Amino acid sequence: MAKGKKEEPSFEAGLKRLEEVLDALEHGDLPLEEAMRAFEEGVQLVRVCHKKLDEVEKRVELLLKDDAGRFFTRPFPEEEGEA
Amino acid sequence: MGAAGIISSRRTGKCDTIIRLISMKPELPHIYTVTALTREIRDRLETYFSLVWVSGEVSNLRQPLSGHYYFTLKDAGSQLKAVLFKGSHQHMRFKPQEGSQFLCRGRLTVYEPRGEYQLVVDYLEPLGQGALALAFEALKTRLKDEGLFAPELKKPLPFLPRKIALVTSPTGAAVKDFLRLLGQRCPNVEVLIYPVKVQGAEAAGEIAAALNDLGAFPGVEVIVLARGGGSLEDLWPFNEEVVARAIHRCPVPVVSAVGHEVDFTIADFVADKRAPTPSAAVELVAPDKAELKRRLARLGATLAGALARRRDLARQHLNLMARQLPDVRRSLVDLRLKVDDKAETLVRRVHRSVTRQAQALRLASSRLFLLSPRRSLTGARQRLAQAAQMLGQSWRRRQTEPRRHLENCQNQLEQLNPLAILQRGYAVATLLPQGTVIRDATLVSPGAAIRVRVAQGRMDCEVKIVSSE
Repeated sequence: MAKGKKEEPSFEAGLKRLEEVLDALEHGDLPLEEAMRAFEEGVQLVRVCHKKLDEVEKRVELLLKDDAGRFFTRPFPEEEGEA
Repeated sequence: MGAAGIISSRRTGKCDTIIRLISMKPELPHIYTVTALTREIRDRLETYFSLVWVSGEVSNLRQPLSGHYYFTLKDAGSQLKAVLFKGSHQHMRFKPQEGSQFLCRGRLTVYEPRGEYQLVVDYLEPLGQGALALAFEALKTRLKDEGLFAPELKKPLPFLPRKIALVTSPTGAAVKDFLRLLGQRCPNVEVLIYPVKVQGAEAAGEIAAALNDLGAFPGVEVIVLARGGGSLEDLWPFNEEVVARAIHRCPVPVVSAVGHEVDFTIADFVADKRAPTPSAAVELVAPDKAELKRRLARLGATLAGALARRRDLARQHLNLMARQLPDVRRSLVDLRLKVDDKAETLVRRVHRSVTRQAQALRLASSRLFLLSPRRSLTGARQRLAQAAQMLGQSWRRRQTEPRRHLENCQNQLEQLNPLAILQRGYAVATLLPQGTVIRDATLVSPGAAIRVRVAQGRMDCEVKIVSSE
């Protein structure tokens, strides 16, 4: 089961790395250029993580098998709002 | 049955008497009061039926404010009133259910005011419960010993799955609850519902098949087994071995969300995670998107803040350094003066040095000139010419020398030629016969024979007179 694209980290990994970057930026004695680079990496990670959260479209389907044993899906009727 | 067998301490003296009378005089029937008879019946029943097990269908179940359960146990032919007091049942696992078959344990008694006998229940369970419970325990022990429940086998759930599979009844309440809660918590996820029966004889097979199929279905990152609450029989498919093995074999993590919080099925033990309620299941499989978004926003803000702080720090540092720099302009003037001074000295010294060097050079130059090979060369050339001349001269001399020398020698030789001497008129006298040259006349005696050699010829003579002058 693939998590994320080829080079992008998973959401979890991205979040972890983001926290690492922040820690380094806040507590480490980073030289200014490295601090800039860390900041850029952090911004990029925030962007990627947001993207990952919104990526997958909500979809609910029923998984069924036909007579030949092949799978096909049908949308599952969901009720909008509960009574 | 003798009189003694039914005597109880609550008898009045009158009854005693009557009974004795009856046993002694069969003609007179014993006449009870209602209360007395009822009481006697009660005693007999309580003694004889102090502990009974009864099975039957529960009906007319009611539970008034007191909290006690009142119901009737019945079967096709008869019925029995029963009561289950609050004190007894509040710690009991099973509660009576209208229409279900139950197994009850209790004692018979008579409620005297109404003359009704009833069963005071102190324990009940659904019929067949015992067998099921045993089967449950047996299977649980067996699978546990095989290691199917081992914690090391539990797979971690994905943090943000893209596709969740739900094995459940498509018409049950569980699926609605799950989808609603999931939509609230994390809408960006695909859900694949695999419809199965969740109770009855075919359910276990369908659930196992679902797990087999989904375990190989592309993209499925986590599987949730969901079913609402129910009795042990209702939940039984989730205690079946075929389901347990299907969960165990499944390569995808499985969450078991079966029944209510108090219900534990074997599926719960084998699964990678157990959810006591549908909302717990949703929390396990999906992260709270809103919370994650907030967290990202916070991190983003902190990031910006951290960079700003870092920049300020750098700026402060720079300012500090700048303040520590000495006033450049003042030191610039000092330096200029210093430089000029040094430059002057430098020029002077260089000049002096150069002059000295020039002198030394000139001196050396003239010395050198004196030693110039050209001079000696000229001298040498002269000497060479002279030598050459001399060589020439001496060569010529050498050439003529020997000749002259030879001539000289010749002359000398001619002069020394004894014969030349003879030419000048001298004569050589030699004593005969020896031939020795006579230089001293005294050595010769008169009358000796001598030879006298003159330039031309010789004379053999005889000596006459000898004198020393």
